[in-house]
Amino acid sequence: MPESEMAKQADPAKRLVEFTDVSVAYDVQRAAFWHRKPPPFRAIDGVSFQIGRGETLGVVGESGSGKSTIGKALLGRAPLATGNISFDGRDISKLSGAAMRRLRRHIQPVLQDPYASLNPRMRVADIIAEPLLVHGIARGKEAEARVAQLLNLVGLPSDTASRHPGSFSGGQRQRIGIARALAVEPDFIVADEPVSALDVSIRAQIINLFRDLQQELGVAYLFIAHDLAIVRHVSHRIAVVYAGRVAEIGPRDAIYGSPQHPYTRALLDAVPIPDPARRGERRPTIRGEFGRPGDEDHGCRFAPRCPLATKICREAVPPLAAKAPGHLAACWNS
Amino acid sequence: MTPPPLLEIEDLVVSFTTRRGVFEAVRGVSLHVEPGETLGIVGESGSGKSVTMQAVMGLIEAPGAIERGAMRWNGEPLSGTRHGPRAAVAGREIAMVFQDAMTSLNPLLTVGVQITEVLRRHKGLKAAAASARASELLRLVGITNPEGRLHYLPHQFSGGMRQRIMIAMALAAEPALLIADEPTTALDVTIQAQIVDLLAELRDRLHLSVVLVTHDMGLVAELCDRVAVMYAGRIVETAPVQELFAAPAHPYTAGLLRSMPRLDDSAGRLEAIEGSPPDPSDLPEGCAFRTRCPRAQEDCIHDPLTTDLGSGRGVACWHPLAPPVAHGQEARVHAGE
Ligand SMILES: Nc1ncnc2c1ncn2[C@@H]1O[C@H](COP(=O)(O)OP(=O)(O)OP(=O)(O)O)[C@@H](O)[C@H]1O
Ligand SMILES: Nc1ncnc2c1ncn2[C@@H]1O[C@H](COP(=O)(O)OP(=O)(O)OP(=O)(O)O)[C@@H](O)[C@H]1O
Ligand code: SF4
Ligand SMILES: [Mg+2]
Ligand SMILES: [Mg+2]
Repeated sequence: MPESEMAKQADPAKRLVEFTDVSVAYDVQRAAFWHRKPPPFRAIDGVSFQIGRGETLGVVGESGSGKSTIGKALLGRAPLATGNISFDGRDISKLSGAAMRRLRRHIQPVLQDPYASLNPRMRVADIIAEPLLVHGIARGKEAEARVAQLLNLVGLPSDTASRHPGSFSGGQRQRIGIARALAVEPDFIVADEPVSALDVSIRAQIINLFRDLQQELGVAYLFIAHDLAIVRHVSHRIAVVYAGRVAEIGPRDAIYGSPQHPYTRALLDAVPIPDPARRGERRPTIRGEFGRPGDEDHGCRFAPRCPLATKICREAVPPLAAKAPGHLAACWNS
Repeated sequence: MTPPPLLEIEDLVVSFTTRRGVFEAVRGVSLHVEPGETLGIVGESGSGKSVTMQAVMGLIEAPGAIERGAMRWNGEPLSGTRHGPRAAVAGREIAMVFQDAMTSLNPLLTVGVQITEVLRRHKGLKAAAASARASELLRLVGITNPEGRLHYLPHQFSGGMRQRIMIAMALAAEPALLIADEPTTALDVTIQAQIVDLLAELRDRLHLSVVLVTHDMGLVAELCDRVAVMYAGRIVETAPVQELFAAPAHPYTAGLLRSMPRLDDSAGRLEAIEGSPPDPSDLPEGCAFRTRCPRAQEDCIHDPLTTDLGSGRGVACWHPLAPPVAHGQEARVHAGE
C-alpha cells in the first residue's frame, strides 16, 4: 500500500466502523449486602473514532485503560451506556438478534491467547469450517476445499487440517485462529493482542501475515497491542487511550513523529532503544501509577502524572481537538 | 592470577522427566558473571533461561534434576545436591526476582512482614531495626510513604509497585548478585522504564552484579554489558553488548535482531525467522537451529562446538556470520573442528 494512502483519514465514503461517544459501563458488586450499590464502572467513556475499509486502527494504552473493552463493544459483547456504534452504515446497538447474528459474520475476533482460544478436541479442519457452517456459507466438499485454501493463505501445510491444535506451536495456532476468522470473508477483524503471547522470532511472521492478508483481501483491523513498535508497523492510524478515554488519535507518522498529548510522548519516551551505542538517550519518563477509568472526573485523567498540568487540567475535561488535519488530542496544553 | 569470576557455571545439564520420557531442558551451559557486571540472557521461549537460573538458586525440583555440571561462587564450589546448591549462598549472596511478582509474594502477609522476615533470617536484625530497614528499602525502590505501606497486603499495590517490592525484598539480604527473570514483562512501558532505571541506579550505587533474563532486546541494549543468547538448551552466542548488536555471529542472533520491529521505522515487511522453535523432547540432530537456519549446510547435522572469536566472543555454529573486518577484506571464520 502506498504510504500516502496509509496516512489518510478514513474517507467518509469508505467508512466502515464509526464509534460515536461510546461508553461502556460494567455493574460493580456491592462490598456487602447492606451497602448501597456502587454506580456502574465506566471502562470506556465517550470514545469516538472511525475506521475505513481496508484500514488498520492501532490501539495502544496501558493495562486497564479500556483497549479490550473497545474491541468487545465492537463485537457486541459489552454493555453500552451511551453512544452508538455503526458498522457499514447500520447502528449495531439497534439491531435485532437475527440481524446482529448476520452482521457478526462480517466482524471476526482474533484473540491474544492462541493456547486457550482453540478447542483442543476439535480437528483443525472443523475449527476453521465451523463459522462456515454456522453462517450457512458452505458445507461438505465445498467447506473442505475452502479450509484447504485458507490454510494455504495463512501459510500452513494442508495436512494440518486433520490434526488437533494441541500438536501445534503458538505461532501455528495463531495462524489457525486467523484462518478461522478469515473463513467467512469478514470485512473487519478485531485483533486483541494477537502476537503478545508469541515468541519473538514468531511475532514477525504473524505481523507480516496480517499485512499480507490486508493487501490481498482488503480486510480492516482494529489492532490492539502493548508494543509500540509493532503497532507502528501494522497501523495506518493510531488511537492512544488513557484511563478509558481517547487521549490522542491520528495518522501513524504524525503520532510517532509529532505526538501532541503528553501521555503519548511519555509512552514513546519510555520505549527502550535497541542500540547499545545510544544508551542513556532515553529520557526519564513519567512517574506514578496507572490512571484508572472513573478517576478524576472533573478534569484530565492524566493530570496527576502530567508534567505539563496546570490549573484548568484539574477542573475541566479537555476536549479531543484537532491539532492538524485528522490529528486530534485531548490536552489543554498542547 | 586474575581473580575468579563471581559466578561460574560449567557444562550444566538439567533434565525433566515427563510422561513422554526424559528430556534435557539445559544441555551443557557454561557461563560466568564478573563482579559489577550485568549479563543479559536472551533467547527463544523454552530455551532454558529460567531453568538455568533456577539451578543456580537451588530451585530445581522433581521431576527436574541436575544431571551434570559445576557451579562456583568466587571460585568455591556451590556444593549441593542433584537439585542444586544449598540455600546458604543462594538467598543471601544471590537473590532472584521472578517474572510474576504476585505469585512470589505471599498474598496473606503484609509486605512489611515479608521483608522483615528476610532481614531477620539473613541479617539477624531484631524487630525494630528490621522494620526501620524495611522502610528504607521500600524508599530505595521509590515507594512513597513506606512506613504506612509496610502494613499493606500485596494486592493493595499495583503491578509495577509489586515488582519494585520484589526488588526491595531481593536487596534486603544485600546480595552480591541479583538475578532478574523477566522483571518487567508483565508491565506497561512507562512502569517498565521506571523499573529499568531503578535497576541501573541500584546496580551502580550498590556495585551489584546482575543477570537479566529477558525477551526484550531494547532492555539488553540499555542495561547489559555482555549477552548470552540461548537456543534449545544451549548458549549459541556470547558477546559484549556493542559487538552483539553491531555484528551478530550466530544466524539465530542475527535473525532475532533483524526480525525486531523498530520504533523509528515502519517500512514494509519484517524479516522473520521462518519455521517454529523445536520441541525440546524432539530436537533436530546436530545444530538445533538447523531446520530454520538460512546458512545451514550438510555439516550442520553434527553438533557445533563453541568457537572462541576472541575479545570475549564465542559462537556455536559451523557457518557463523563473518565479523566486520578492518580493511574491507572478507574474513574467514573457521568453526572449531
Ligand atoms: N466484565 C467486566 N466487569 C467489570 N469490569 C471490567 C470488566 N471487563 C473489564 N473491566 C474493567 O474495565 C477496565 C478496562 O479493561 P480492559 O480489559 O478493556 O483493559 P485493557 O486496556 O484491555 O487492559 P490490558 O492491557 O491489561 O488487556 C479495567 O479496569 C477492567 O478491570
Ligand atoms: N517443572 C518443569 N517440569 C517439566 N518441564 C519443565 C519444568 N520447568 C521447565 N520445563 C521445561 O524446560 C524447558 C526450558 O524452560 P525454561 O522455563 O527454562 O524456558 P525459558 O527459556 O525461561 O522460556 P521463557 O522465555 O518462556 O520463560 C521448557 O521446555 C520447559 O517446558
Ligand atoms: S490536559 Fe493538562 S493534564 Fe491533561 S495531558 Fe494535557 S497538560 Fe497534561
Ligand atoms: Mg486487554
Ligand atoms: Mg523463563
